[in-house]
Amino acid sequence: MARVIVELLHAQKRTLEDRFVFDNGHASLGRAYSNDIILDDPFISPRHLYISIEENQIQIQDLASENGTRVNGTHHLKDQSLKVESGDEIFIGRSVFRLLLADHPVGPALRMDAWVALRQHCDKGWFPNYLTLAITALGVWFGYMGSPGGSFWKESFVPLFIAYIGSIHFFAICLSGLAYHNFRRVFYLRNLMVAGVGTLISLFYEQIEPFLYFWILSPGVVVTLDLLFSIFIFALMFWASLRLSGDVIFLKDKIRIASLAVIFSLLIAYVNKDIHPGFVEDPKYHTHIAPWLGPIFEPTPLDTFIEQSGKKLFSR
Amino acid sequence: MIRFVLNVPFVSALIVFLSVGLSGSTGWALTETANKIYEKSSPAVFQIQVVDIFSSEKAVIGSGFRFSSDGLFGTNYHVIADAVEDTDRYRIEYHNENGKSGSLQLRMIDVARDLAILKEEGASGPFLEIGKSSGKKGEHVYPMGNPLDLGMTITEGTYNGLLGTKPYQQILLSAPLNGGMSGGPAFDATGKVVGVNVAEQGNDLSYLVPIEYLIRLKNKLEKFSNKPEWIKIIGSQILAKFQHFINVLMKSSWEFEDFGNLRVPQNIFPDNIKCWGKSEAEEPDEDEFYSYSYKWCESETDTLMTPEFSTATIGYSFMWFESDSLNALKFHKVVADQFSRSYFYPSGSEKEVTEFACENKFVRLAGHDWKGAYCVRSYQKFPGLHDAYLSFADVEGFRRKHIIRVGLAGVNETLVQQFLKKFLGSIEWRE
Repeated sequence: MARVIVELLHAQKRTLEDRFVFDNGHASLGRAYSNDIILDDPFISPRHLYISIEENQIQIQDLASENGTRVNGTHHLKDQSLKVESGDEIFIGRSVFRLLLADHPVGPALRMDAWVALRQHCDKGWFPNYLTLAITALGVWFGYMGSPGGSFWKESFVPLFIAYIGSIHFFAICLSGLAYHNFRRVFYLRNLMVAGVGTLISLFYEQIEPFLYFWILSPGVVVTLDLLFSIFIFALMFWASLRLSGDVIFLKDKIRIASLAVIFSLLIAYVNKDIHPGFVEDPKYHTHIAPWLGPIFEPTPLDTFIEQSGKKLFSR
Repeated sequence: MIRFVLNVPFVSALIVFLSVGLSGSTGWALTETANKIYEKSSPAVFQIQVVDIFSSEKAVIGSGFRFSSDGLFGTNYHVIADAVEDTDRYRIEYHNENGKSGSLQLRMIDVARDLAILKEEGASGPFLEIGKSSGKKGEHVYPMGNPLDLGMTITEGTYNGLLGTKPYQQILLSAPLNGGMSGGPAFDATGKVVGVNVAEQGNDLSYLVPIEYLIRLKNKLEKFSNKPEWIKIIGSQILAKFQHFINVLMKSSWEFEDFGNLRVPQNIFPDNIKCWGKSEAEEPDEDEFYSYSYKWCESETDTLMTPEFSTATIGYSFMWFESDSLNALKFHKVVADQFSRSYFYPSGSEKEVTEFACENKFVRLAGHDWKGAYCVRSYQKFPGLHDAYLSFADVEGFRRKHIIRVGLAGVNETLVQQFLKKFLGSIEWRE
């Protein structure tokens, strides 16, 4: 007798929920306790479906069920039998199953890559937590560089420390929410590490921003690049979070990552007033200045600047 | 993370128009002369009301006076500015204590000197005698008007000379003027009008428009069409005033002084511009992580164009910064933050002005490299009028950083260009 495998799938995401293996080559499905697979779905009849193997092919028989049985969304059976292919999906009531033969092809094994190794580090607990502390210390140190002395330790240290720790954990919670949505598990420690690394990159970016944008004199381009960087960082974090939680990233995940990153970045830019609709009273001009940097090309002589820029601006 | 930002205070004490809404009155013992002037003049001095047509209630009150046999009234432009801006919504009326009232037509305005001439069609009545604005310091002057809608009053003050340059002078008066007296006449001891009440500042400091300007405006009436385009008139008067500023500035030779590594003009126009300055030393123990110094000069008075918008000002500032306690990166962030702050243009909504457009360039100024921004916006209601703002931050030294700012409000390209070339061109770098 050939073996038949029945996989119960998540109704929307079609991910595996449960798997039943029948070495005797047949199985019955329904709400009645006499079935091989007993289902609680009220739209399924007590004796609903019988699966068997005939000449190494799966055959299904609808047992005159109330709502019938659909196959791959194309056939609809009621008190009929039909031969189906290995891997076909069948729908009874609100439940989805996949039927497989033992010789159904499977893909090659994934390589144990660096991501998998990283997961093991993350799951140790001390690693993401120490990383969070180290990044917080770095953030506080950057803060101290901005006000080296005076009342810093008395007044700014504690709020700054809490702000960094808090924001890293906040991001970790957001990412964990996403992970729970996808995998029904939060993977908090892994996401804490992702949030920490994201914060670290942003922290460095903030420090080197004056150098990056020193020669880009158009404020519009600066705002755009800033926005693109922010989208990149968010996408990186979402991607890393998914990659550390799941094994494979599908196209729809990539699309979701990109759209989430865009939404987050636009929100932040809006809050920071880098972009906002409506009238702005004050002039917006290029203000990045950085140590050790000067003009690359010959600067405009004063009179030329007054004449040419004036001509352009007044004739607008 | 820059918490220790420098706050440049608003240093100029602004002159307040004598519009309604101010409180407080002064018990004032009137002399015999004041009594006589009041008796003689009160039939020709009125409360001027700008009345909202839909609610039939007064929106703005001021004072005014009849000064010719053919029924011409003088008042301030700012009293009736609402009626100029929105002729369909407001009408102008005069009222006096004896219940006499009537409606007035706007005949001519002078926004630069804050004057307006109104006319009662086909009517005449008692009118005031015109005197001269030139007097001796310490002479008595008697301003009259209706403060805060309380009734016609006369006060007494002392003449303190003419301020500013011709032909935009004002009389400085020590007298307590209150809101609502705007546009009222001020008399000399013989009962002749020497000026028009216009503004007050601080304690009993008041300003009058010399009466000669009103007469000059009256003499222009004949040349004037019956259907005036107020927008064009206001625009050209503002430009004329600025042209006058620039002419004075181009002709005058300026004094220079050392500031940081720069040699910069001192007050370039003491009649109109007032300068202020401040320096702070670096004291890390007290959260002062850099030292700075600034020199700050701006027009003391502006010109009201519409009830919401005043213009015709010049301002400029020089700043330098130094720091031992901050590292180079953080120090430059402090300077960049200061560089991003802009001043010297009037506050206006999108109904008044467009957004600023800016040109950003590396500029060679005073023999050194600077990052410069040149920003211009246009006036929505007055074609040809603009605000210009420029800011420069030096990108050469590490120890000491400089910022230069200049702003001109209510100008056109020619005037800005003329001024900037002389002003910015005169700045030098000293090693």
